[in-house]
Amino acid sequence: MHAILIHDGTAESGHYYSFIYDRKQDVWWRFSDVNVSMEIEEVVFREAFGGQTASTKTAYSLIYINEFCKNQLESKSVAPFLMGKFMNVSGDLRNKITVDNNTFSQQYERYMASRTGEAIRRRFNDKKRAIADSKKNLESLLHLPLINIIFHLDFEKKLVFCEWVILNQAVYDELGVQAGGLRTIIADKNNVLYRELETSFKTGFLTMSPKDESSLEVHKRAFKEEKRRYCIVAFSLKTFSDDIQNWKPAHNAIQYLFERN
Amino acid sequence: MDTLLNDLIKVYVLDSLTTTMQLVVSQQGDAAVRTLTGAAIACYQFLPRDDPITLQAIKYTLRIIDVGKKIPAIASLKSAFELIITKMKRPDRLERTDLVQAELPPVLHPEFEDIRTKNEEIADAELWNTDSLCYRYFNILH
Repeated sequence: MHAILIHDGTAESGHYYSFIYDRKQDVWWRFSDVNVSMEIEEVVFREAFGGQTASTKTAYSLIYINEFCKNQLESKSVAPFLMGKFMNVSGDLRNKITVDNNTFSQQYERYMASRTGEAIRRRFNDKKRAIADSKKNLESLLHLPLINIIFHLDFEKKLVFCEWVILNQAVYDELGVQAGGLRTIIADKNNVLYRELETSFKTGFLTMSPKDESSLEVHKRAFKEEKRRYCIVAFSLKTFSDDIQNWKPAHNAIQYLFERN
Repeated sequence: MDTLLNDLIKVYVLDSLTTTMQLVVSQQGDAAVRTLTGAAIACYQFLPRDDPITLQAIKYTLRIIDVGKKIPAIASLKSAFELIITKMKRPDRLERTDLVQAELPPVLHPEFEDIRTKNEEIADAELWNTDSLCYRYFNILH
């Protein structure tokens, strides 16, 4: 065996590197992008073995050489031969490779944005369907505006805000909360994901003006206040039904609600 | 929401009145006064002044007094019941000690804090969590 090609990652992303056996010096070399370093055999075989639960590394190709090559390589050291190969590539070729890499990066970015956009659209539609189903099934059972801000906005007939929050939740679900949601995407009009979403949603809908933001904020505050009221009503109901003689905490709570109002 | 709170208070007052009557009949005088006091406060502090439920409470308390007269263990509480009627009739003459103070029960503090800090725009498991407010309210109501 002459070399081992390793993939570290998943089917969707990761990093490729290789180990090459230096017959002259009887050592393994690790080639990872521009970094070249000596590696002990135990580590080489551990990373190549794969299947470990704690590691995403695994060999995907093993390179063997015949006797003739083996004899040739026993007289040459591998590392100086391979190190800095890219730096020795001629200017024209290097420029071509750089242009190719940039083109690839842009294509990749557009592809990923299209995939992410598609996933966000799917989540958005799924959520809308789930909400419509819940409305149909739970209307006689629960006080719907109490479920969450989406149901609250729907109840208040603020349908554009309602859909915007659903889309924002779809973005959070797809990209993670730390990515900042829809507001972060729309902040950069050159963002490929923003341009992708623009193909499905109107710009006026995606963009939140300061006036819209403050209006949504008012609705969020109203919803929080509604939840506080229902907390007190639920608490009072429970207090009265548990022991009607022990009415004082409920009375205090109701007075608290009156004074808040 | 205002209707809901109003209905809650009215149902509570009516329930308190019938409970008071049961307590009087079963000769539990102190408990009867305590229960009726709660109903009276609800009438004069929470309901509008001319609410029919307050008139109902006054009439029902008169009946409670009539029933109490026939029960020796309760007869001594007549003045306490009459004082409650006076307070319901003349809420303008109430003293500070007749009113309950606004106070959020400690048990609700964590819930209010959760409401304050929650980012409403992030999806939660509301419909999958039977401890959530919408389910809890439904269960308590039933």
